[in-house]
Amino acid sequence: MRESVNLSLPCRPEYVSVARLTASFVANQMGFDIEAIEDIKLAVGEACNNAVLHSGNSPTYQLELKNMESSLIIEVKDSGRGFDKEAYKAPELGQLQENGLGLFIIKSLMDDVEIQTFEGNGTKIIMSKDVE
Amino acid sequence: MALKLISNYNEKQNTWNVEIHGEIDISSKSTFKDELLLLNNEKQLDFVFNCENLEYIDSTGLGVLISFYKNVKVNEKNVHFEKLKPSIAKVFTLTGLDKIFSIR
Ligand SMILES: Nc1ncnc2c1ncn2[C@@H]1O[C@H](COP(=O)(O)OP(=O)(O)OP(=O)(O)O)[C@@H](O)[C@H]1O
Ligand SMILES: [Mg+2]
Repeated sequence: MRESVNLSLPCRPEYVSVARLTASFVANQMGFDIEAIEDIKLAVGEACNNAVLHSGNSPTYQLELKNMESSLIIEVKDSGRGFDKEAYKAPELGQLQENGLGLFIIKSLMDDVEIQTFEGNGTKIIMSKDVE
Repeated sequence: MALKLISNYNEKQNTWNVEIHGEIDISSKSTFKDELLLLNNEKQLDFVFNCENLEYIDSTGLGVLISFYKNVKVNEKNVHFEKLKPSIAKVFTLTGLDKIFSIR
């Protein structure tokens, strides 16, 4: 790893833009093209939205951006309520569902995504994007 | 960057024209929703969204658009999106909304 950026953010909507800006900055530094920077920004936004909206009583969450030279690895970790991964269903596109798009968007835009979550024990989403 | 909406009644087309500036995200979605509902309550018309200056939208913003679309459809009106930036068009396509909304 070349270097990493770590942020601890309050679980409040106003701060999600700080996470997005930081991620775009790091992605830009690493030489990602504009389209990839937008993808990364949105994926980070979605992961942070979930930490803010669904973690429950967690006061803060952590964002880590790891510059691996050939890829960017991003971790978003909260210590909230977690969820049952097995019960997760991908959205049925075209069904006009108002929720349930976030994880689907992350998986579509990033090269690799791993979710570690335990009910009552927090959630960590690890995602990476390769520099083309 | 915050969100700013410039809304006008277009007499010629009999539509609400809404210019969206900035970002529709977790912190601006409520303002966005409230302003749209206000217009729709005032006069039930087709909506034309000018997205030339829409820089960012996430799933929470898309959720607002989907629920608003349902509201508008109740009155047999429609929503149209114009001048989407490539990154925004990509999200619409990814989520299948390009097949539901009128995009031009
Ligand atoms: N950090 C988290 N903590 C607890 N539960 C989570 C977390 N992230 C996701 N979830 C659970 O997974 C579900 C799916 O998340 P996803 O982001 O796909 O949709 P959503 O957040 O419900 O809606 P949208 O993202 O479209 O606004 C959530 O509704 C929630 O139950
Ligand atoms: Mg979400």
